[in-house]
Amino acid sequence: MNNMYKTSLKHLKTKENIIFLIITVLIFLALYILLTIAYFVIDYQRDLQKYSVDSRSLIVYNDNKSEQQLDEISNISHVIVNVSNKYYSPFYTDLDEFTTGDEQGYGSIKAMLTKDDVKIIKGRNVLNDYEVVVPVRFYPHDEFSVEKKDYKKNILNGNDLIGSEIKVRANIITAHTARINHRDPDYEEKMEEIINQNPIITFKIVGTYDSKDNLVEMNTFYGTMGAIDLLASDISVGGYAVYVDGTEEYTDNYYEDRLVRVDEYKNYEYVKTELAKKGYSFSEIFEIDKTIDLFFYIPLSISVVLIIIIFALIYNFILKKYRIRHINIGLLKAIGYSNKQINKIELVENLIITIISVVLSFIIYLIVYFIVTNYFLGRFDYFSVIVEIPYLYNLILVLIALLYIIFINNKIGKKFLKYPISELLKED
Amino acid sequence: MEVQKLEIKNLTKDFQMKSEKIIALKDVSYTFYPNKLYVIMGHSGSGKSTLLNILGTLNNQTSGNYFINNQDVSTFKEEDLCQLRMSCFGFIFQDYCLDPNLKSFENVILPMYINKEIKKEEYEKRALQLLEYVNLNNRNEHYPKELSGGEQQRVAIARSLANNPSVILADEPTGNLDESNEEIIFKILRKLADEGKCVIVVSHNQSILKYADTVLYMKDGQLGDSHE
Repeated sequence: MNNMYKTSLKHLKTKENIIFLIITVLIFLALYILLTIAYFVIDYQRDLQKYSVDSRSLIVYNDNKSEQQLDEISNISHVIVNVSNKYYSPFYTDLDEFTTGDEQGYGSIKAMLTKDDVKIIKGRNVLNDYEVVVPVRFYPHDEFSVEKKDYKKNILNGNDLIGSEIKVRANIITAHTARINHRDPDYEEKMEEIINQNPIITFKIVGTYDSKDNLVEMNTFYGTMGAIDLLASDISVGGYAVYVDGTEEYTDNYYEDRLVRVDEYKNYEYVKTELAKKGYSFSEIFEIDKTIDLFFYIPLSISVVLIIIIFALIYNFILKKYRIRHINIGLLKAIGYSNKQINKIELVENLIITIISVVLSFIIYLIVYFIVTNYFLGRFDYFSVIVEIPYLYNLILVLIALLYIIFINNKIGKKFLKYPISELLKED
Repeated sequence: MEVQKLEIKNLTKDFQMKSEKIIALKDVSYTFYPNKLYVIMGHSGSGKSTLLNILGTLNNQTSGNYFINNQDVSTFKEEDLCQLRMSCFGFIFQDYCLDPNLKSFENVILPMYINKEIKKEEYEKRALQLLEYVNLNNRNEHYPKELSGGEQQRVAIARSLANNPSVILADEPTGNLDESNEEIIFKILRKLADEGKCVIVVSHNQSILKYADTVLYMKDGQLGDSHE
């Protein structure tokens, strides 16, 4: 290092530098956190559009249309799936194989509607209706269990389960299809009898996928549409009523609508427009809630304010330092230091302080990030939603701050160093 | 560069203070030579410090000429002036002007950092020699706040000698010191003049007169008679 800059290092421990360091550490820390929140929102919305099949899926209503008419939906460009809406809902089931001392094993089985629905990490994809794939990070319980602090310890490695089996009881026969009056005093006993009549289907785990790729819960299995047929009734809503006069009424609703999926999110509006033109009525399965935008604009707005504050702070800090050190600066000039050399000494000191501040605040940020994501965002983890560190934006922020320091240091330095040396050397 | 002669001719300096023009120097002419101790005396506001600042290129004259070795200083560029201050002039100020964040020997080394003729390995050795010269070799690791006024001024003198200048300019060097320390400082300045340097001191203090080769009196910005 040029020996001249040793004086920069010697000046680091001054009171004004320490105060500046503390304040900028806090502001940079706040900025990192706010940028993470804003980035997360944008990133999550982008992921939903890219990975979540629900964000580009629709339920198209029957409206007394014929099967042929509903089949014609497949002729619309960019429609890649056109199946019964029976295959939209996952089949929820207890998983006794994964029941622990105090937690019931629980999961869901979803139908793969296209071959691209899952990317296999290990093992293979399903080849028949009696095979399933499981998440590589597998938590076979329901989301409320993530409230437990140590839930992460109970996350299983799905790869270890390849080859094992699960037994799932279907619910084809329900109280409604069995026509049991809910006022029947033996309702509970009869219900249990009915449930036990449902077949138990054995599925073999043949492969694993990453639930983050699909933005699904960590307890989601994927099987064929045939697997869903084995497990679930064709009746979507069953109604059975017994009136006072003893008459019975059955109001069974079958799955008569269509689940339609578009190839890419960018073509979603086109397909909706085409469906409307052709006279189909439909509803979106999943609409990205616009209130989420608040979690982008609010942190971003606060970030902008903080950036203005930090720039004002930097300006005032450098100006104040020149003012406080005018005698020292006058001395350096008197002993032969050029304006350029003096500017560089001050600049090196200011840059070092800022870099220390940036690094320190980032370390604190990482600690906060680790604690929050590991101990408070279990629900996010469960739904395969990742809070990522926006390294690029943080780096841009830091670079802008450093460039600004260089600019302001030169500007203020030039102005200050124009004073005659004898004026700089005068006491205040 | 060895300074053989400092010559000022018809030097005038005025300052604009709000709506008033203050004439600090009026038509001052004189020549300074090495191997001599000059003392400039006069009442407060007589222009002594202003003259010293111009001699040290810490300020510019309003009119008149200033020659160093017959070269007109007004023709020097900024980098030439920096070089001049670095190699030819050593300054001693009333308030010492030591960097509080640097130890004694580090303060002495400060001017050496920009002197390419001094090697990095020589810095510390040279600084310690200079501190020894001013009888302060046992205080080299102390910070200015740990030193007395007299000790601080001796460090400042050592610093002024860092690049072996041929001119020493001292503005009220004993202004904040007691009598015993004054004598120490004056003796050092005398010694420097005897070793061939041109030493110019601004002072109110009558005690320095016995050490001076020439005494110049200033009054109302003008140079009166000089006494050898």
